[in-house]
Amino acid sequence: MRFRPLAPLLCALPLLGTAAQADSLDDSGPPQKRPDPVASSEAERGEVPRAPVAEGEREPPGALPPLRDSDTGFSFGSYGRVGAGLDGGGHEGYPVNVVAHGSRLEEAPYLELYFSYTGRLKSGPRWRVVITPAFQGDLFHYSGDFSTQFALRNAYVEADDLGVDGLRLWVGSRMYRGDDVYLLDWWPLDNLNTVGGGAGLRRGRWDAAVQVGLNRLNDGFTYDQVPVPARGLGPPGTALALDRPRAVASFKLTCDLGTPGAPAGGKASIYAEFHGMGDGDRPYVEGSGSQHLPADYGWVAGAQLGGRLSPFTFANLFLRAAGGLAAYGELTAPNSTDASGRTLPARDVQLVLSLNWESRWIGIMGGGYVRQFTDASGGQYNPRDYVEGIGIVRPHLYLNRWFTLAAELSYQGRQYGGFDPLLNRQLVPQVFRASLMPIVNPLGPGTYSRPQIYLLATVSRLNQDARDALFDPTDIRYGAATALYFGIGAEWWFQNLVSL
Amino acid sequence: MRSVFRNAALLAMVFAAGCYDLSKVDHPRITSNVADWRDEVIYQIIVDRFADGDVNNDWMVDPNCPPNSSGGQCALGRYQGGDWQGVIDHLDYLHDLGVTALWISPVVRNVDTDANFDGYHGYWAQDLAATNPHMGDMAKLREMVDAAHARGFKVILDIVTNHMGQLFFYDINKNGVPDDDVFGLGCPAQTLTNGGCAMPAITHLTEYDPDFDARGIQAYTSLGESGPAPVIFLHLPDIHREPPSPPFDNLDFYHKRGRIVNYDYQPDDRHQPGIQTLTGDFPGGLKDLATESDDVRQALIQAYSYWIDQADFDAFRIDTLKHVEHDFWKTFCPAVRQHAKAIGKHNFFMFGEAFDGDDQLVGSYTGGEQVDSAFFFPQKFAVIDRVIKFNQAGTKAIEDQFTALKMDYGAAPNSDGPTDADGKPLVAQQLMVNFLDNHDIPRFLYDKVSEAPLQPWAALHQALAYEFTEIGIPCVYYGTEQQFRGGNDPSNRERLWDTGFDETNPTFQWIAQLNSIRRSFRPLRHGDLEVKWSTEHTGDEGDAGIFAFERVDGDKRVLVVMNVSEKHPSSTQAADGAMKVGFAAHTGLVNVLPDGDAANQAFQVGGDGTLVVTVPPRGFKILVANGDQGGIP
Repeated sequence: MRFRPLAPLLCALPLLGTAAQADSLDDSGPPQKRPDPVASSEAERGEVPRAPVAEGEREPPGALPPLRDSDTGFSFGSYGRVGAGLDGGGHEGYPVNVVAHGSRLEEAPYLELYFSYTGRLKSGPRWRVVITPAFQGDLFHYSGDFSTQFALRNAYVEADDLGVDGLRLWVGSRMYRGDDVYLLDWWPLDNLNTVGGGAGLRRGRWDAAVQVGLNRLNDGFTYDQVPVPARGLGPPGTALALDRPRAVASFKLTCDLGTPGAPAGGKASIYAEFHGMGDGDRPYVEGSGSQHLPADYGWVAGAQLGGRLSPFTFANLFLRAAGGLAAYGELTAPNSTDASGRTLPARDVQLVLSLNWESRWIGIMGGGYVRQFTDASGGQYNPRDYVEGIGIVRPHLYLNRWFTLAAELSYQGRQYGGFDPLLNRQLVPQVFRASLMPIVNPLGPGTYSRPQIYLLATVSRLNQDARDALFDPTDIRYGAATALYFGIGAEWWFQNLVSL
Repeated sequence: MRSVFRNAALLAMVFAAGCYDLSKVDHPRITSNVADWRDEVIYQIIVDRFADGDVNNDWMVDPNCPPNSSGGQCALGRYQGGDWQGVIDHLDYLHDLGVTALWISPVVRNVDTDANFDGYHGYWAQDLAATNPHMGDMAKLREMVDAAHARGFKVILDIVTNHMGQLFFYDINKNGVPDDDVFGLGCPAQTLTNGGCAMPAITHLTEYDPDFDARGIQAYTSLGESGPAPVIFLHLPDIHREPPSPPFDNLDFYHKRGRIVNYDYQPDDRHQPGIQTLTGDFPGGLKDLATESDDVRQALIQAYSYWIDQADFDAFRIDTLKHVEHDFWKTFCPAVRQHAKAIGKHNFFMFGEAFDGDDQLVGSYTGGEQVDSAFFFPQKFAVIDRVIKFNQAGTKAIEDQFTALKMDYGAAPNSDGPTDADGKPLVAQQLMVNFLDNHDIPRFLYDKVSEAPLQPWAALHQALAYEFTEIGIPCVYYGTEQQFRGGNDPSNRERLWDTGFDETNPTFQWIAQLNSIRRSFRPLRHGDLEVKWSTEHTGDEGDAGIFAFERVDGDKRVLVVMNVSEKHPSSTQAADGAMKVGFAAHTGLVNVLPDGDAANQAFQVGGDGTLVVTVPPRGFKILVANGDQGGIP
């Protein structure tokens, strides 16, 4: 066995490539990593070890070479972020966001470890096992609490070149996602966390991928048990009362619009999901009654159009509409239904933009979206309905090879479709944010250059509605129309390969 | 695919217009909707029991009684799921019934639950400025009121000024936590006097709802009393059992004397409530407000004026009149009237509940700048139950009740009070709210057994006909039209939706018919009442059970004759003569209330002005002069 100098290990995002690590369990949670080059054409991506890149060299986002036969062996990678800070009053610093997908700057610590083994027997199929444990929660050195939350985000086996060139199959538990908006830590079009399997076929410019998976949330909407008397001399037991896993199927078709080898190019994708779950009876906590939950369904239809002028100058535009169960996300039980107990009237429509621009001295990341969420319960003045949007930009000035000065500016706002139940009025929370980030990039400059360590100073200006939406009046943060954050942080991603 | 295009269009609209426009419900337009309250027919709605229009606010709903099940096994002490959307959804039903004013249960946020009973009824207020989330939010409330107004309904808000919910406890043993049971050397309730313990004894009570002590609840240990017990607000936000919003979080706003255990009247006035009724906590630990305080009065005026501003209500139904001193009503009512007038709400109406059979007591709250009207409880006991329902007294008792109405109830109008369509002030004697039953007493049918071959609901139909034709404003308790027959609370708070809102029910159709007749004949709404026949007879006498009266409006009149006997037909005549009526001699009369009594539909006044009308058992006739059958506008 020999170690390959894993060079630069994937310094720039491209390496882990489109790798997908999702730390987010819902649409407001923390996400992960790196951008997603326009030209990456795999529908499920990222976990594939890439060819090493020479020291100091940055891999163009859209030009990842295919795996070579020699790309076998063990691989280890990681995504992580750690940070801590104070607000202006000596309290713990806190993120200020009033939209579902706000700035990622003050996100809580999160760690993924990536393990994989890729093998191939001569000219036979290549296969790979991927395991990705993830951790989140307060750090022991921060809270003194020797505990954290653990999840297994990836655990699957994939094989490709199965007799048909470009054919791949996989089965297991997998983060399954496309391109993200880095600044918002969000995969707007396709972002599934599934236990299932899928297949893909790449032919020329075209790549098609399907996936079918199941989840069964422990939320009372999907699954429930009731206590029952002891059987024989044993202890009291439980009986399964509600069990209706959700099936999620997806399809994505991508066309690479670029010329092979050319720095400029683009891609276009269409995407669809179907969600379905059977009916059941949910037992009440007290008493003997139960509520009938009818079979329910959901759908997603979306598209993405991306273009790049050079390896690190690209833009992605997403349009996504979801209905029914899918409007709430695949890992979230709906919080409302129509009168029949279904979610079919729910809608979530999003228009999203992500972009990056790089030059020798300056790099600019940007993003934004507008979204309308319509609750399943209907009603003309529904407080669960809302429209929201954010515009965010992070310019970087590369002072020298290792030092970068970045700033982030954003505006976000949400308008609710009904009255706040406590305040008896419509809330329109809005937040302006401005951040300054002196950054050190050991691997050189670049908006996606990681690891990076940084200082962070953020000023957030909240209108009254934002304070009312975010905090109870008794909360010590309630009164602050201007929220400050002074902290430090680090973020990294890398992946290396140890060939056999 | 259509929905995709619809969403795309929606998104485009978002870009174009950008926002949710809540202006229609953000600042309600205050309107005056009532020409004359005597034209209205009130329908009492317990919102939680009327219709479940939004399953998404159904948390805490009785687990034994899910929305689509039969209500037979319901734990009616728990939330059932009704809400304001449900009222919106069934305005057609109410329109078909013919009622015109909707009295809805209190809208403010309540203590959710206490001792495994829920605050679904609305009388356990926790925050007088917040809506009850089980019913909807402020926008939904406004939407309901607007929708009702658009259909011609008036909306009456139920309010409580006497007490809040069980928001605090008396820390009698000073251990800092509420105890269900306190044992020690104290005073048994029976020995308590205004001076304290008559004798030491072992007592057992709860710190949530201890027995009344005029000094204020006292702390004690096994060594004896130790002064006033600390009073501590509970902090259970998950069930909204927490301090109310200012200024009601001020403990000086409360009497803190414990639960009423004696409803005796004042020693020097048998017609006025005693000290415990006025200052004690309402049973169930509902904390009594110190309504004699100017601060409390102003806070309550502000708290409830707010709801007129916020949701354009047309009237207040006021709870527990006799638990609050008269001076309060003389302050509160004028202030609310002035506020309503100032914001452009004319003919704002306030009527209250004094749960008592004493005419002098109930009447003492009407007029004199107090409430405009009250529920006619004395009539409920003396007439509806004793005479009509159970035939325990002759119909002379009905006439006596009208005499009491003239003597004991407000005869002078309140400033800025209700008026007729011409602006002429109306008085309490014209505006009493008549009812057969409500949420605090068993339903009419609960204990009513009719003589065969009468239908079980024959007495109910007769009582309803009386209610709709006598002087005053009829009030129908929801579910009456579906022949509900529940007993005492909470059995009398059934779920209406279990009936499927059946409009074919005979009582539904009977009420709709009565409403139609009442609308068509103005004297039944506005006329003075003249008793034409009453009797002490309850047995086999020829006039036993007969009561007849005329409603006279100018030169128009309507004659009403009923027979409360279930045994035999009776007539408006006796040994000393026949009934004299106000119609001219030889006037032909016709019955406009179809009653199946084909032989007795048309009559003619005799040359001496007398009229003999024979009415079958439980019969009821509404007679108008020939030519007026089409209505008297």
